[in-house]
Amino acid sequence: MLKETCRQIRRWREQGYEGMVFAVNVSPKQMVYNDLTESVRQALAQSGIPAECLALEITESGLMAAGDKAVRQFEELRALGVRIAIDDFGTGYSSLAYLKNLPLDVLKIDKQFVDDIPDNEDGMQIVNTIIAMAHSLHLKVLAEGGRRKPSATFWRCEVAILIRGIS
Amino acid sequence: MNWRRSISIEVALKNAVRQQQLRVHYQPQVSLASGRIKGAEALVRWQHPTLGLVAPAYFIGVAEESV
Repeated sequence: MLKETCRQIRRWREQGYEGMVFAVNVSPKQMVYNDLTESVRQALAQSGIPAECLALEITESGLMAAGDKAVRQFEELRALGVRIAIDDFGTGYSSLAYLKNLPLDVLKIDKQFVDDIPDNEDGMQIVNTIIAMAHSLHLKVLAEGGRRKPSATFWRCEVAILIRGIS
Repeated sequence: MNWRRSISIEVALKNAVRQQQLRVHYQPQVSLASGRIKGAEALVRWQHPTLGLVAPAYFIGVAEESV
């Protein structure tokens, strides 16, 4: 998955699509039983793409499961230039304390909150609060879903909307 | 998930890898500020010859267990 995505990123970059960031989901098992940093290093080296093109996404619960191994490997990966995103933010049984301890770049607001826009006032306030918190922690925000937004219907379905650019 | 079901998914999944039924789909990420595509998320999809598109929820857990 990682290798295939890196190969595809190279093909797109060769066609002129530079400056974009591509995200790959990772599981806690990849960090606990394997060396994720090494897998990423190899995929980057084989494809020849810069690390800045790649983002790794892990869910909140995945992050909790990987524990200290996640912290160490995310530090190594970020030192390479890879970005780290938290997936399904706001839905896991997790502690907010990780936000100050972990090297992170992006929070992805779970679709269930995004779907509250514009009809559910409480849900919208949660989204506003997450955005405000993320920005004050110098994190970028990504909203999952967003297919109901009329301007996004062009993308047909499963459109993720970047509230603030990630590059 | 019971182990019998889990094993049959694992066998089918190994077959799927061999027959290149696993595809990567890219979900665009759009900047609200500029309206431009800033990147994409890579998502694995299993295109089964008879079952059609198999939902990731059905096989991701098994795939991770069998790493």
